[in-house]
Amino acid sequence: MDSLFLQQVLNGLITGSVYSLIAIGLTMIFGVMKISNFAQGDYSMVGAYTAVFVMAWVGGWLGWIGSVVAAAAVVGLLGVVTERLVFRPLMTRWTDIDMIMVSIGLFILLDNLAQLFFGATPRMIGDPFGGTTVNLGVASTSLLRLFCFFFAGVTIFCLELFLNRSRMGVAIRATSQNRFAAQLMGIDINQVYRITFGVGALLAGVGGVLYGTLFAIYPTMGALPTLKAFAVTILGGMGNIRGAIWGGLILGVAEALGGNYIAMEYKQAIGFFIIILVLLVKPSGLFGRKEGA
Amino acid sequence: MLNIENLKVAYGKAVALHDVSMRVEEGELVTLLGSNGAGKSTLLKTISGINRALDGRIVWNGKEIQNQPSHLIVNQGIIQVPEGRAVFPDLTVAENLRMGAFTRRDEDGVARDLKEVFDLFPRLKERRAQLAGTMSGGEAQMLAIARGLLSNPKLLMLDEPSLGLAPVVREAIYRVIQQIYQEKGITILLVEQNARWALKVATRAYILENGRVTMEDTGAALAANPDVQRAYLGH
Amino acid sequence: MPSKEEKFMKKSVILLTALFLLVGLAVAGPASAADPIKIGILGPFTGSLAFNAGEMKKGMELALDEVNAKGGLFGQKVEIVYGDSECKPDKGLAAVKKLVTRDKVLVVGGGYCSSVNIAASEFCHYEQTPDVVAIAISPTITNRGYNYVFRTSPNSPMFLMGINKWLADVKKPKVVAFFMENSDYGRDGQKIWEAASKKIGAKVVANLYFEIGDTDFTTQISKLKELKPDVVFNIASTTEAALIQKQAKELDFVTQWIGVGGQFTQAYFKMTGPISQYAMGSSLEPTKAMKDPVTAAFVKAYQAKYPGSRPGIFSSQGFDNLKVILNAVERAGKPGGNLSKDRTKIKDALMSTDMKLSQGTIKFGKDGQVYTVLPSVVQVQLDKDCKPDTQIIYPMERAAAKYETPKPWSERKCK
Ligand SMILES: Nc1ncnc2c1ncn2[C@@H]1O[C@H](COP(=O)(O)OP(=O)(O)OP(=O)(O)O)[C@@H](O)[C@H]1O
Ligand SMILES: [Mg+2]
Repeated sequence: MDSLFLQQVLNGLITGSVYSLIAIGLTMIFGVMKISNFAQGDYSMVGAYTAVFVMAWVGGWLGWIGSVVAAAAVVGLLGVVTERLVFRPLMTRWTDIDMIMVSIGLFILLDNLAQLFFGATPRMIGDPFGGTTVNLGVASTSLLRLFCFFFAGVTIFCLELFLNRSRMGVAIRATSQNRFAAQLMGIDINQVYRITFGVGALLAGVGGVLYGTLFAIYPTMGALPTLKAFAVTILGGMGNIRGAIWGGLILGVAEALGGNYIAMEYKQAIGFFIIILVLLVKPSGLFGRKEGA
Repeated sequence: MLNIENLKVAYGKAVALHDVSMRVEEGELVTLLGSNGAGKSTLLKTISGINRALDGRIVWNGKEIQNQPSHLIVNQGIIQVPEGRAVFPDLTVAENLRMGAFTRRDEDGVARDLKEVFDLFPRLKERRAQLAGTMSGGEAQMLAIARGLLSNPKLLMLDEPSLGLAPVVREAIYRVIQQIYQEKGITILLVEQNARWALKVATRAYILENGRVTMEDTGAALAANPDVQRAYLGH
Repeated sequence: MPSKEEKFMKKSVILLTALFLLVGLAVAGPASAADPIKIGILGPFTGSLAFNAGEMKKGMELALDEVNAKGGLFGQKVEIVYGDSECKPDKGLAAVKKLVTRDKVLVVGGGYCSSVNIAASEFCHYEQTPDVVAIAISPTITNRGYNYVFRTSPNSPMFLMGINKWLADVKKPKVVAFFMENSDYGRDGQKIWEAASKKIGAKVVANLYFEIGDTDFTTQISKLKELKPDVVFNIASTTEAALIQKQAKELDFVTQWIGVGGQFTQAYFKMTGPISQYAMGSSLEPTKAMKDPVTAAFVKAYQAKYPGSRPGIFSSQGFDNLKVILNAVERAGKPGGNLSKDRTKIKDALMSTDMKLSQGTIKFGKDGQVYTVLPSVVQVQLDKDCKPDTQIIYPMERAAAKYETPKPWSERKCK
């Protein structure tokens, strides 16, 4: 294993961890509500702009960590609001395709509002760690990128704690496995929807800060993460959280290695090629259960 | 305790229950018989607040509860163990049981009930950490019943608990149900395919056909009825 | 069963969605007046190039204000109808078709994005509608013998001429690599620089492409780092170019980055800050050529209309483009109402264009290409406060600063 290989694996893991974060929100919402939310990446965009404002106000690494917290709060709230005002009123009566159209409508609305309020000019968040680079021996990267990876990991860890240890977390998992049975347990399904959407959006918001920190921030920036999140969700199995975690990392590493060893111009295509392969072998995704379970 | 009056339920334009009236008194074990598609599950789902009542009333201890959200109905002690078990496959046995106690705040009571349930189903205690999806049909049914018991039911509604189980396992389930009824004194509304046993244990029974109640009597009287014998007891 | 209200609600949500779509498109939509002279302007007004197209638009609106303030042309108001290409050939073609056939504009101007303009100019040629491309550098646009197609900006060989001379005379790199967007813009630039590299005996170690809109370049940069080229030709637009600088720093990679030059916008410097130090390209920056009175007048007028902003290359290219169009429309005479005759007259007038504008003198060659606008070689350098800006370093007679060799990140003062 040469160092270029390890360097690419590291690059892929860092990008992939952000894919995972955004995809988990998507897969949670799909699992619980059976809604394919095409506005997921736009929650990330809102999170990223939250960071722009917090960074302008506070700045430095403290501002950056503050951005993550602020984005979680702002976007989590936005998720709750959109669930209540947009998705829930229509959910029980409309077909899945209708709901996809609704989420696409929301995505267009958020894009246009962002364009209106923030302008089309892309922005970047300055490196709060002054551009410090870290040499890990076999591979090197910046402290900022490592922090993004770390924050993605911490967020996922907190989510796992919530889903596995808390009463509401287990109820969310239960609802995604069997909505009817969950109702018979006395779980308030509307509350589960609200919290799922809130948490799902929150994750996308935190993912958006990290994505915006690694890359750039502009009104239409959400489209690519949405696409990646869908790819990851399909790869890991629709509604499967662990699948989304691993799926994101796998997609990130596959893109990096595929780009390096096969062809850079097909970097994006390689990820999708892997997905098609996986689906041919295992239609329910890498971590999916058998159909109908 | 539970009074159903002139209930009407439909799926779209297809009416599943026409003008159904029945009652369950405290301490009873009431059996509901009916062929496939008669509307038994629909009735239980409507009581649980999953399906909407278009017309009629469901009265629980003097209060109308039709069309309340399901979690409020569970809160009042009306618990359903659904058809086909419906355990949460990717949750462990312990987590499934914990979901049964979802609405409860009395930690001590839950702990006590958990112990009782483990006494009733020692198998579940051994398999606490196992994913429910990996259990056999009989084990899953026991888990579903145990989960229902942890909800602290005043009325336990069991929808075809023996469906698809091997005869030996089925016998075990029957014993457990009788035990729950006799030893714990929980009121039971039972939907069951095996009419012979279900009528034998029932204080009273109803027969539902095409969404209407066609007969109502004590279990013993219905078991002796020639029409019932022909249709449900295979004579 | 959906009830009547539900159906209504569904319809209204779909309508709302459509409405928001329209709002998005209408960002560029003007108000109409009675019988105006209509000019169609194509550009990527949404998508990742929206802000650059916006700069172009600001330049054009300045030119438009100037003419309408004087009462328009022939007593008629001049109106711009914008068409959004999103920088995608299919969208651009649909937009230009609408401009030419539905809006019945006299001339199509604007442009931006070579792939779009190759397709759009072909359409205009067959529709016998003059197409004056403002921004897009692929030589193909003007080398197919289409006599209705013009371009007011240099093509890529012209853009790169200065840099090629600098490479041969000053830098003399031994090992070079290519890292460019997968588009006509990227591929054409690559061809020209590859030929130039061969001529000076430099070895090409990599040809790496990326897709427009990509954000993660760490894979490519890690590979480049391994190959250690003296020069990396980076043909990219503003956002991608800025992201590449940022990620190069994060991966501790140093090389002499050379781009075409269009990426150096205000937005670029805002994004990169001092990270873009040492990057090079060609430039037609109006603010760098303030010695020229016409350019200076443009900069002044621009800052009067848009206080606090500084015109960049796209603003100035947009301004000149519309100026050239309006000048031709004026010389062609009052439109008689026969659209195809009017368009042909304008085409003929365009051929004899001779104007002094913010980018320099504009005269078209037989092929419709302007050969009189020539860029200089610039390098991003930092001032005392670590603020980045381009400085002309070549040719010597125009140079305002000396070339600086890129230093390792650890030795740079500005973070
Ligand atoms: N979700 C549904 N949508 C539409 N029709 C339904 C739905 N569920 C049940 N039905 C119909 O309602 C009627 C009653 O069904 P139900 O499931 O209540 O019968 P059942 O007595 O429980 O039958 P089984 O013994 O098969 O469980 C049937 O005609 C059935 O096809
Ligand atoms: Mg049934």
